[in-house]
Amino acid sequence: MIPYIKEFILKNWESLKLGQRPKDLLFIKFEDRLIRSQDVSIITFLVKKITNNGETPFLIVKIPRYPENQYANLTLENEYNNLIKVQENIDDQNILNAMPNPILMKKINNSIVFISNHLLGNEMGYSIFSKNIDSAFLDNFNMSFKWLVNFQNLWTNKFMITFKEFTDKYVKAIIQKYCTTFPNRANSHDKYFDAILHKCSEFSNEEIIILPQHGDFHASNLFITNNKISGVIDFEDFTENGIPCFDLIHFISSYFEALFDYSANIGYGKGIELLTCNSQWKEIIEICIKKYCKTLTININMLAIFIPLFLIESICIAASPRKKARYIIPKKEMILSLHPFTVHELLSDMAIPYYYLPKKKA
Amino acid sequence: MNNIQYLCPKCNNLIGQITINTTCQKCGNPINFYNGALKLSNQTSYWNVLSPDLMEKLLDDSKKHGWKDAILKSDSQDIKDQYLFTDCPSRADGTFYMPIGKNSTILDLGSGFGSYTFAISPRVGSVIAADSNLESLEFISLRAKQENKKNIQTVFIKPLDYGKILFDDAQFDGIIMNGVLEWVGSFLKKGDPLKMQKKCLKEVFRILKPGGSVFIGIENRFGLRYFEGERDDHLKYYALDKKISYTTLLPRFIASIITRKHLGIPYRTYTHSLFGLKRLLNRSGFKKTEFYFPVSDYRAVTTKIFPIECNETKQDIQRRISNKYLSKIVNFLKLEKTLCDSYFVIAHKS
Repeated sequence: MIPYIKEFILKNWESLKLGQRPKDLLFIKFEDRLIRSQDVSIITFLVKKITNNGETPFLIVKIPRYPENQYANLTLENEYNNLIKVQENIDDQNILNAMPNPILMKKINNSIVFISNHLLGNEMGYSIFSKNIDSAFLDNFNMSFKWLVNFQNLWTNKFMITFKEFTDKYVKAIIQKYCTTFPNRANSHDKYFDAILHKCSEFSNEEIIILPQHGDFHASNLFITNNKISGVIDFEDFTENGIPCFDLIHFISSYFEALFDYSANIGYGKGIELLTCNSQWKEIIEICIKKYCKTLTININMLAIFIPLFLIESICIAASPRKKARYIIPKKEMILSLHPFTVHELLSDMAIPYYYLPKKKA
Repeated sequence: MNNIQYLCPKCNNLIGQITINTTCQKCGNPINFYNGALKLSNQTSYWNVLSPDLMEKLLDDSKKHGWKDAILKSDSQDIKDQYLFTDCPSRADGTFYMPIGKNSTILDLGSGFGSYTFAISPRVGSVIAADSNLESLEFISLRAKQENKKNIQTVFIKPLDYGKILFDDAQFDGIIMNGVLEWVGSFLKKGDPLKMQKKCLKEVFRILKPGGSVFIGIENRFGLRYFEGERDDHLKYYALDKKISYTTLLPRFIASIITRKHLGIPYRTYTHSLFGLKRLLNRSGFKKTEFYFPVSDYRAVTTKIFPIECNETKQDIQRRISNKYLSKIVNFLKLEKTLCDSYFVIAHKS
């Protein structure tokens, strides 16, 4: 497949407006993280151009592992369409420069090929495990927060809805989606769902702001240059009308998941305990959440609803035909059965599978 | 499915396409099928990571419960361990560097449990899975039937040491030899393995269409891990408990002295250096080759793949060299690409 893509790019170099023609192109394949089922996977390549000055990262090429798989193709189409949508709704060049610019979405040799530009920077995921993990977390959170808040604030189509409307269109709909996706398990979470709906009634006189959510806002999808976010990638799960605070909760929970993984892999069980029980960590997280909610004028008490919704929606996404992330579901189900309502409960509950479930085998 | 033209196993005459009850028009040799596999050999050989008993159990359970459950729910850990070699499409991601597509005809030469066969079959027109082990081919046929894969055909061939691959000229757009070339020469206990490998590659060249390519996954004889003392991968199949290291780095006749002493067998699993492999392919007719560095290993479940010339290859190798003087020498002489632990190679027939 790569020879055909390379031939296409070189042949259409000028019409794709790729700048000065290089001597050659090198294609480097990224590792498959094996999160989603391999039949719906996307293969990603970094394209480097070879010039007299050496090698320069240049493009990102994504193709489905199986060109005939409709869900893999849908993933690429979603990403392409979402990026176009964002470009149409955000004016700020700083934000747009930190996002992939879609260059091409075309069938080449019977396979959909999505090409975007390469974004500079170091993956934030690598800085999570520095010596001083709590100050690394704060630095990383602040950088991400700044970008995210800007992105959400500058969105032209944000709007307010009543909490009653929110309850119908979001809360009940997401619970229903879970029950449809997991009909055999729906009854085991009845009490949790009832409690969530009951909590909704506490806010019935309020309004809530609906903002765009990246959908997969975590450290491995963020790039840093000079202590600023220089790249945000993977917009396939982006939604204009997302669950409030989805990206915030996802960032924090996935960050901690990475720390738990790391602690478990090095056999440091105590590390997991420290991260979940330590009062300094609790304070840090509280400050971060308050900062986000205050900036976007979100009632922080509503997190008691947003967190369960985030969890339920995450499980539904993992089970969707586009992902089929089988290995994630048991873990998330275990967390769901513990009925978390706060971030601290969520993080503590997330730590439990590391003691009970076997490690994911690829 | 099959437009492949075969040669008679008895007289090497062109038979053409084969169906049930085909016989060679020249010598009258009947061409048989065995459990779905087209038999182009009567030579039985057993090369398998599973013992014959376990393989029989796997086949029985596959027929009763389906191949996946037969592996995943087996009470044999050895069988369970094979799952990664059967149902892991990402292992075959190196084949994305081949110029193949929906209409391509592919030969998986030395198909084993069919890891590459099944990984690639949804992307191409048809796959011939060829192996010298009837039991593995039966497993592939079973799985293909259970998954309704109509574009896979199994073919039982002689061990590649014999030097003849019974397909007519120019049949395939792509040929896969993953973890295979180094074993050519190890079945027959005499003769020069290097000559056998060259003869095999010449045959591969012959049966490729013009413009076709062969994909080779193989260890690097001078891979950095061997300098670090890691055991010779191929010798472990002769004696699991014996860790024999450094044999790939030594002249082969010295390696043979060592293996005769410790294992009672001559050293015949020839891997090659970067330049050795280039030379071997060149002499077999392949004038254009591309080399890639699969990180962490060409057999790994998921790999990053770097062209060997790129900076990522240099950085990865340099990261592993702890001695700073050695690191400087390697950097100065640009030796990083020669120290990759394994290679994916795409060799083109112009």
